[in-house]
Amino acid sequence: MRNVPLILDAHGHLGDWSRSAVLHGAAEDMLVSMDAAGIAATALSSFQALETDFRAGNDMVAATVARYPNRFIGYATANPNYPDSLLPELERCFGELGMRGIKIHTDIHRYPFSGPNYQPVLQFAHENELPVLIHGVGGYEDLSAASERYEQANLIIAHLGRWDGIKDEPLLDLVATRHNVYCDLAISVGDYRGFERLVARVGAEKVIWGSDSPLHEPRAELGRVWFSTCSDAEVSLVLGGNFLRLLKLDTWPPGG
Amino acid sequence: MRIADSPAASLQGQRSLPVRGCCSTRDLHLEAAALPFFDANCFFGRVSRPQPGSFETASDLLAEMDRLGIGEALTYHAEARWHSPDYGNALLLTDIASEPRLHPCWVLTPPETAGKVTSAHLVETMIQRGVGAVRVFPREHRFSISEWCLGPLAAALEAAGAPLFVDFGRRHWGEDIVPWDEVDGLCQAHPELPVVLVHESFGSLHYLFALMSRHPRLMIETSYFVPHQGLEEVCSRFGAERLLFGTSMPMWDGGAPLGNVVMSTVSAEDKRRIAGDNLRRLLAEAQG
Repeated sequence: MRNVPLILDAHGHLGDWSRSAVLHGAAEDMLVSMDAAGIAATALSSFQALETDFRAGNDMVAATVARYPNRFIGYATANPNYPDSLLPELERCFGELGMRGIKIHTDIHRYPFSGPNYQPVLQFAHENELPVLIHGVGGYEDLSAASERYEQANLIIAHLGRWDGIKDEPLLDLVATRHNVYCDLAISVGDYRGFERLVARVGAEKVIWGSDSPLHEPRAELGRVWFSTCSDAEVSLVLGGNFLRLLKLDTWPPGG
Repeated sequence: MRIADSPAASLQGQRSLPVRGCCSTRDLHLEAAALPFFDANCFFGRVSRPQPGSFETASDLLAEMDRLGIGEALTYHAEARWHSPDYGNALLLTDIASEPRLHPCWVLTPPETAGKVTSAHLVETMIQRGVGAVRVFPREHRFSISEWCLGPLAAALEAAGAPLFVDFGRRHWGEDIVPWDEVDGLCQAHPELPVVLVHESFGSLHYLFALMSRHPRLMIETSYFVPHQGLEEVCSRFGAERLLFGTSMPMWDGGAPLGNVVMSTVSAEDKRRIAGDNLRRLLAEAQG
């Protein structure tokens, strides 16, 4: 038997995504799965914000958070291909819409993590001590430089938890050694005992649970952690404790 | 710039009802053990590049099943997949002879192409030896599942009522590796053959659901079937009998597919079907 910890999903999305068939991508659908799994809250970016109209997509996230303020957490999506809009949109998202983190997707935006247009985004995160969920960080040097230069930004490297325990993965060295670099677990399939090996390599305090819901099924992603051989203390950090710390909160819901 | 205080920021501080499942205890192991889990997709044996901490023997497999609360398993032997089907299938029967919780699944290639034995004879022998299921790796073993290649074996299995597990070796949801027209043709030519697609996921849903609408005996093994509310969707649209729980151990981790079933919101009866009753029924039909 495990003590059920606070479970926060640090990697969620919202809505439809034409590259796949998202079966149930509405917030209300996600709540059904979250309730079944005991997930307190899910941090979201919308597929629309990533793929097309970032402003409309960020509005969709904000509206969802406004409807369910204790169940969803907003990521502001930053699109580096619209550099003139980057800072005004971040100021809007954090000043008016109540977002709590930034989402960067270098693959969809086909823009390198080390490129100049991301620098004001990372500077903004640094000044405001925000978590930044990053899909695609380039190489070791790119991530190393960003973590040093923007040391108050907390960089969560999406999908890095898919490490198979065999191949060389130098990015994990940065996760293990830099105070502001983390990896998330979102992965559609996990290698045998891969979660345990990841925790052994980087430490439970550097692994953050995220499901990629509603693309992936969060209950499957949760099962990978729950049925692991890791201790309750390690599982508690991974499933919610670490992300709560990055949100600068003591409890969820805030003040609850 | 630093973020200014805003109305939205104060909104986030409001209280709500306690979240279900938070700050209590829950024993998912116990919930798993209460279901009749029968793993449709696992193997044992030495491989060229094992996962660190992985297992190798039938006893190891049973120990991991015990840890996870999985009662029975349909298993193939690594020797049959990566070395020699003849050698590995024979070794499988020897290695699990005294393990009633482990059920044999033979790995086959189209028998006629080797020129040694007919499919009808091979399947008859297989059933006599207590083997109720077959698994094929068309991409890995380089053959087609089209009628001109796999047709005789599919016909023999259809006559015997034995399920055919088809594994295209998917490692990522975005891989475009399945010859869907060939899957359609297999099911069309052999409408009574239980065809179980292994390792398909949310990237395949347009194909999968179109084919499942056309072919009532087409099923999905669940180790990689992780679209959001995918189990609920299939149960609602096609029925729980179209899903077979599987783990892909020791290549993949068993916890994810286990959690997916244990925490699903399908009915208790459907959950039991997915967990193991469907596979039990299929194997019983083959042996009947």
